[in-house]
Amino acid sequence: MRIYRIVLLILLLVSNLFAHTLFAREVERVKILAGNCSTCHGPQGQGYELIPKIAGLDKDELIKLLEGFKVGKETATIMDRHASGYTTQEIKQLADYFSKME
Amino acid sequence: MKTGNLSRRKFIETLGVAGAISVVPWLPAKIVQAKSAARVIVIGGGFGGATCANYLKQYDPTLDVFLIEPNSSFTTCPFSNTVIGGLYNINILSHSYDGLRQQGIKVINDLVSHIDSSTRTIRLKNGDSMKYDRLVVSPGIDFKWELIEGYDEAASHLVPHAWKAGDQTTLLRKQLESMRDGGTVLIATPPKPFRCPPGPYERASLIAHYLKKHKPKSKIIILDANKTFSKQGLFIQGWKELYPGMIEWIPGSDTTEIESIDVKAKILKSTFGQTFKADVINIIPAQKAGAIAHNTDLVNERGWCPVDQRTFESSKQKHIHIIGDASVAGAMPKSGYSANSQAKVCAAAIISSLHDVPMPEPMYSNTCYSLISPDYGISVAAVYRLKNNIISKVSGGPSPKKASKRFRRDESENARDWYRGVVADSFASNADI
Repeated sequence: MRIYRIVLLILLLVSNLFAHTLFAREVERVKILAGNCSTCHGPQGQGYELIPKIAGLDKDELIKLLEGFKVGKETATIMDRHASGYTTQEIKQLADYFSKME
Repeated sequence: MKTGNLSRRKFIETLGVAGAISVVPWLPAKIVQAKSAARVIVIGGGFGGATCANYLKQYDPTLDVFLIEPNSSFTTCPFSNTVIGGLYNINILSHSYDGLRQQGIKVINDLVSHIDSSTRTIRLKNGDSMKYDRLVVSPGIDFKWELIEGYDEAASHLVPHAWKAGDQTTLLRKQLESMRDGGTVLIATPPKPFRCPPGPYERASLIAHYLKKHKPKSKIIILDANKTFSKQGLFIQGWKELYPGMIEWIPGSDTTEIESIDVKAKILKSTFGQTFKADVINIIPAQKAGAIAHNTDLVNERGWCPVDQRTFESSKQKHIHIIGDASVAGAMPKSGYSANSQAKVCAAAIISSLHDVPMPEPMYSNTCYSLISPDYGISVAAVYRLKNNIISKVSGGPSPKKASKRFRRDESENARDWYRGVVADSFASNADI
């Protein structure tokens, strides 16, 4: 019986570690970036009447849009002023993040 | 596997051993620390406090998050000028904390009477004490009543400031409604820095919108404490287009500094003896951080709270973070959106610190819309990064000076969407506009 107890002990320990790793949350940087979007586009990127939905858009499409805003190739009311504050790498991260949202 | 031989008692013992081993010293500190839920108390349920509580819980659902706010609902300053201008009813500005409660945040409607930073304890007005691991203070603003002779809280019931939304907003609206056609409205602005830099000028615009329709012989005077103002070129251009001759802006100088007011006679007196009489006066007094920040020694000599602009931890007291209007936050204006943005960065900083992991590099943003009329909107936007430990603007600016009618209308639509967004993101509730 001793062996079972040791097995159980190891199992508990391992699960314990997993649980803790899960709770030792690192806030991913992309969430900080996305926080700048959600104030206007809504906490789920859902959009409203004129401010569009950004959740679930195609990643490449989003990159093209944001890069376009950044250099003034896309028509914008305000997004040109926002997009120019982000690096190409950050735009990719944001596009990836919102493309995976529902 | 035959586990039947393992009695309940033995099982619990084994569990106990496993538990004990998981806190032995050779394990990394962050794993040990994460064991019991840390408690974060947020004081103040405005845009800053509500957002911070909301995102603390979103980023780490195991956290024990409290929000302490004396009022059972929040009335937003953003869009309160639309109520003063008669576009909306005051009810649209109120948002309950039920959405935040549903996220698992414990909302207590009480006032914090004391913070003891050495024992990390707060005391509520009802006498209860609570311990915290981290404290977030988002107290908004208070007024420097002492600067204008004859103007104090009691006087504001006759001459409203309407710079904290609620009864004051309604009072100013009522005074405008009962004013005669041909009357004068005077708005006196405070010295910088103050909450909502474009606010006084949006207010003048929406009052002009109301007067133009209902009392077209009336006039508006803006007695400014400053020489320049936010989105100045755009406002002045919009006033010329929509309200020609109706709004007079008097820029700040030594002679326009307000010294005293007779609230019954509605007469303002400047330091050099010049007098201004009006039918409706709106005094927006000079400002400082909310009272609790002063009582807890969180303020500098100018009355605002210096913080580490990466984490928003107080420069004066450990484990206390200050966000929103009360904080000194580099290039960010004192706005609801800024408070919302700072709150998310602060939440990430607190969680990283509690779990002893590095904090992600912060980024901040702000967008302020102003309505010059219901279908004429302008904005100022900015993205910020930390440079030499100071929040610095990296992009943005005001709306273009040359723009089509369609562009201005789109920005007025965006303003309403902005309100829906910032309310949902902060209070987890839907705005009904």
